[in-house]
Amino acid sequence: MGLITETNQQYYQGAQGFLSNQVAAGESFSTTFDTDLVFGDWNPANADYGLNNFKLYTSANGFPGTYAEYLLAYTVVNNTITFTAALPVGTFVAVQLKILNGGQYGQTQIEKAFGDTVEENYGSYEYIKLTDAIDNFMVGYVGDGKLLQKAKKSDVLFFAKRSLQEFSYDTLKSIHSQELTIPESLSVIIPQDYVNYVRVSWIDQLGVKRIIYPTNNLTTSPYSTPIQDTEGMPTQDNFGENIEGTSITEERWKKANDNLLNGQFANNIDELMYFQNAYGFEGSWNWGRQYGLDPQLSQVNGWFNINERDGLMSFSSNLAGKLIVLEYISDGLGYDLDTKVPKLAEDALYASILYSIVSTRSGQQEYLVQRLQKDRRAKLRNAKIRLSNIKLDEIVQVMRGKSKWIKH
Amino acid sequence: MAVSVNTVYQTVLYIINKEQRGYITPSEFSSLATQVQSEIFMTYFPDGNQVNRLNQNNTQNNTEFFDMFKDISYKLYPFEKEAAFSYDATSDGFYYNGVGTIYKLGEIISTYNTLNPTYNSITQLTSKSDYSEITRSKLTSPTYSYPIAYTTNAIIAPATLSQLLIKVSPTPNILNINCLFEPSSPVWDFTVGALGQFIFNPVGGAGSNSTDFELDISEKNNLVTNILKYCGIIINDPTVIQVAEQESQQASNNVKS
Repeated sequence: MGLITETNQQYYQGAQGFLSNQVAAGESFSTTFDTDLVFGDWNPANADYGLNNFKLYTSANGFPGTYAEYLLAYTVVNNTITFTAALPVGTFVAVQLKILNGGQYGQTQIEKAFGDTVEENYGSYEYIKLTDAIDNFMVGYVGDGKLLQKAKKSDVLFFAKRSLQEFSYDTLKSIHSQELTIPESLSVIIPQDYVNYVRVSWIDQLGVKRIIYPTNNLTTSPYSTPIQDTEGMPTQDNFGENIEGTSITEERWKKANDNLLNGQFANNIDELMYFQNAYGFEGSWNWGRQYGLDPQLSQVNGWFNINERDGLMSFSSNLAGKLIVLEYISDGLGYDLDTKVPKLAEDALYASILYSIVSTRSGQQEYLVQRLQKDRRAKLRNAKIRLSNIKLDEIVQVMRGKSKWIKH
Repeated sequence: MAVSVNTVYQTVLYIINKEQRGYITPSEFSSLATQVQSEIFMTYFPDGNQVNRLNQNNTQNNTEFFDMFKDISYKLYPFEKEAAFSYDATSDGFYYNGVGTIYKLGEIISTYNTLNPTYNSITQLTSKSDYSEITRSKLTSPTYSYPIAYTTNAIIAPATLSQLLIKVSPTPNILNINCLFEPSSPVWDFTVGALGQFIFNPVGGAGSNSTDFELDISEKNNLVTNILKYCGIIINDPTVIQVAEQESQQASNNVKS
């Protein structure tokens, strides 16, 4: 059996058609989309109707332009739609998953099925669901005459999820990113499923990414900011807990003139004087004065840092109001939808589960554990290379710019 | 195919009466038959486990009829049934209130049919302590796709004795378990003839309580020799015991070697 079970119409249009041939009421049709039907209510007057991820249309003859939305009662259980009332025999029924262009059946804007259910399914063949991977593993690796005579499903589930987490950190492609605008407060909330950042960029007028760098040694967000008395002792509230204030470090950083840090100080004479500390302030802004420009600071894109105390990502003042794109990694387990594995890493996942289970069992021969560890490492390396998306022609094109002779 | 209780009884009578050694009454036979059927049934599990090592060592043959593990597994078919369990809200668990006595629990399928899509999930049977640990880990906590279960007991009215209770998380709408049931007791039912003789009342006949052995037809020889063994004890004849014992031992060795 082929792995593709959807028809072209189901995949591209998000639609499936049926023909009514039952006189009595209660006729039912089962959809076979890869996407499960989500059913809130059949009645558009009910708020739950908005939960539906599809619309139903009927037509007497099936000709284009003759379909109308079906607005009478029906139920949906296990992707089977059951009509409460009898449909005239020969009625054409169309199930349209919500799609950005509204689909081809609705005649009016209200009738059209606007949404992105169909788009969410596009490209899904690239992945395998984690549940499918676990079922496959149980079939292929567990049983009589195999390395694993027996394995608890919960153990397999645990190691599959752990493997996916580890893969997410450094093997799988980061597919998580958010487009945000930096507010006046210069801080945005860390995404719900954030584990670490990959890249932060601001987007210029041409839509080009300009990479923003972490502050590293420039500044920091103190985790604790106790209020001190005149002798430097932290003060406590009535419950015996330290009283926390706002961070002065962060305040100063937000007000900082970035030009004094990155060397773009020639905008006016004041900046130049500040830079040379001609005004005699405490400290100085003469970054790199002794050794020339410091490359990590000589950039105008700006800086960001992670404020662990408040769960925020803070940006330098020159980025206020700018559009940024935050690319980050998650662990792949944040949402049910997330629990999918690229097929290019499927074998590595199996190897990882197998190694993890065998290596944590007592009484296993060490040579076997070592063998599986090597197997896992090799397959993981293969997965990394595959997912790195290295294409010969693209590399050749890049290397041409380096004035290199490339034979290919 | 079941073994005819009448055939076995007649064979046993024929053998032990050969030299006028004695006679086994129908009620004695029925008792012995129940005992022997139960013994043979019980041997399937250690025997199956033993011959399964051939599978584990990759030394099992792959022939159509001589794979001993497959043969023993096959012999369980009369007792293997998928049983629907009922939900008891008071004890928040599932119990069996159908016909027969459950001997072992096999694969558990939990069905969640009020969801879209419906889930038909293989359910992991764990100990209570494993259940507690598995449910506490966020990575393994039970879901509709991966439910877990453990067994306990409860008194569920109208029953007055405690019975098997299966707790499943998340609670499914339907619980089906592939169970092994205990064999029903064979009975050689009879009517009394004009000469005072016992006349067999056939299985399925009007008013008949006769019940065949549930064991597979391939167990006929085993049944006869093992019943003979006990008959030898009843009629106090060591020769019968010895011969039956040797027969039985040889058959067993053949299977396991």
